[in-house]
Amino acid sequence: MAKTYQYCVAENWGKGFIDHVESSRITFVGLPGNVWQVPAYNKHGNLWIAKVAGSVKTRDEAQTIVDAEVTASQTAWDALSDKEKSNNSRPADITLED
Amino acid sequence: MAEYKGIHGTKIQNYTSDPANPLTGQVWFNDTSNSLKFEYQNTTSAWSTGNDLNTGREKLFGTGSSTAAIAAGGKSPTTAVTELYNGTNWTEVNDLTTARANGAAAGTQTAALAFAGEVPPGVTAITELWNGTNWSETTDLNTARNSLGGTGSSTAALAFGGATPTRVALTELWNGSNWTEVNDLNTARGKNLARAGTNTAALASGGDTVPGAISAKSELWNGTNWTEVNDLNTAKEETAGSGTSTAALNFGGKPGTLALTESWNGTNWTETADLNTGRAALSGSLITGNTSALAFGGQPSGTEEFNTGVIGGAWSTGGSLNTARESLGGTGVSTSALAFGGGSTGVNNTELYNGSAWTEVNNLTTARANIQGNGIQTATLAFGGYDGDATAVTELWNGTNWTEVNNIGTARFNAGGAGTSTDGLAFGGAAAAVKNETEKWNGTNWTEVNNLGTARQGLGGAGTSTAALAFGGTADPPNTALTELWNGTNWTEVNNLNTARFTLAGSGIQTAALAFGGNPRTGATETWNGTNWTETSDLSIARNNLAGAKSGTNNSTLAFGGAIPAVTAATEEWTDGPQVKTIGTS
Repeated sequence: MAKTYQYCVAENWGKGFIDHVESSRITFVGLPGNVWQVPAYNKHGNLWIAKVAGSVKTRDEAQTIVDAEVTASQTAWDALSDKEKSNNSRPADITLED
Repeated sequence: MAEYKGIHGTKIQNYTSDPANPLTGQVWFNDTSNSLKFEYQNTTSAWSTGNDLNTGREKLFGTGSSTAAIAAGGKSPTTAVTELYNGTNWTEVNDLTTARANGAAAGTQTAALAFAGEVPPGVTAITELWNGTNWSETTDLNTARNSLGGTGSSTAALAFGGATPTRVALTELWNGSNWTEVNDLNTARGKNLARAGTNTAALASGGDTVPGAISAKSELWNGTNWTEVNDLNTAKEETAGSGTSTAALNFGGKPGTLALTESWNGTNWTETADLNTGRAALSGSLITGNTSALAFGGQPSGTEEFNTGVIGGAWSTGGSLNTARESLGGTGVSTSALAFGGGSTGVNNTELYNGSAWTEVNNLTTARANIQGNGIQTATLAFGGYDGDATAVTELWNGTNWTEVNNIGTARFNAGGAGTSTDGLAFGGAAAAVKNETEKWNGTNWTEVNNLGTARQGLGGAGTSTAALAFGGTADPPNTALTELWNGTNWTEVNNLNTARFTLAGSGIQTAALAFGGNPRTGATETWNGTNWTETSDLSIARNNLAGAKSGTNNSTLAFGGAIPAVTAATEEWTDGPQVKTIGTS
């Protein structure tokens, strides 16, 4: 089945990384590990990946990066005291879509 | 030509700084930046989701307008079901005489034509006429086929392309009684090429030339011949079209399930707002141009309405915090904000935002997380938080330093807040249990006032000490979407957020607020109009335990920090509604 999303790794440099026009045109999803999801087969998504010099990843590669970040956050949360845990919930797993 | 003074009643005014509340259309000269500027309404094009067909299906016959459409047939399984759309809901009416799918349709909701398609196991030439109440069979097409394009009216239609299953370029004209073969398309293709226009001025786009060879080709019909014109930006099949030969839309399709929408201006295709859900093998309205359309059915089945001129906002990235952290406090506006405290166990970092970058400044005296604050960049009150336990510490920021002032009466973290550094509210939060206490700050002391209706923590706040808004939070558990209004004396429950969540952020006033982010981790953004919350564009980075520029508005604010679930330094800027544009600088 053809994919709906494409993934890349790009460091968010701040202002101008995603501008207002780009954000109006397509949906960006920022994920742990500087992983970004944008629509597949989409000119604006492709142009944005080129602009930010994104390193394109397969869904599985992106999932591995995200999993490592989430696991680290879960480990850090598990080490908190019970009182500290009560302030925030345990980080949930993130499953990327094709 | 009308002059500016004639329209606005004044000449263009000079200002030393941009006016605080310019009118839409107002032009002024900024003496400081030597710039001519004007205020404009930021509008966009957008698809909004509507109620789905009663029978979800793909490869259906569709025509009509975005507020009066007709959907008939489709699969799977192959059906004769017909439904009418009234702008809000689909209602089932009388069936096609022959159940079939993957054909074409023309006309309106009250006078439509459905022709060709497939009746398993083969293709068909059947033509049926809809009179607003019933379908009746009429004269067949000359060539049976499926996945063709079709446009026009019930008395003057055009059928083109399709598959027999060999891709064909055949074109036929309907005169109300019979089909007549006329000049072919330049490129034979099928697999649901998109249509627009009439039987004297039509547009065909997309499809496939052989299985697997998806086409971006477009052709214009002038009543006699087809002429190749500029291609779609993206080759697509099983796509849908709407509009006229000079103002059309092409939306959805394959490969994959495309959300892509392209707008035709008579010469070129330009990408415009995507469908909310990528879908293929869908159908659509036919009438009228490229400013409105209805998409329905498909894989997956759904209904979406397209409109231009929609006042819409979007998040763009801003400068990142110097210290990534969650559970921090935030005040100020989008161009001058303050971030303070945060972390899982408490930090005292304070940072200033100037519209593009954050700068570290003097620290809080007491490091803490899950802190709340009211005010602006040069005058903020920070109260409560978590420093190993719930704290009552209150500090005042004067633009340079933090100074401890009188403690809040009830120690708490994850409270909500509203107002200024001299006249504000604290409400809700948690210590050993969730709180409903509300306290009012008068610049010197906190005084207990009437409680929230529902005790909760991690709630958002907006407004003033006499007209505040509290939204979301968790009652430990469950997460809540509750919204309450403060009138200066009491809280009253009003309409809920669409998405229940806690540790979210907010900006604005009691009658125009914005709620964004929160836990469970989300980028959901909702705008409040004084009565209801409406979903709008999500944060690019879904996050919880974030902060916002609380004195910002529902048109302009910031989101910064939070957990994604790792802590983040990312800032996003929200802009919506009227914007200032620089025309030129001398």
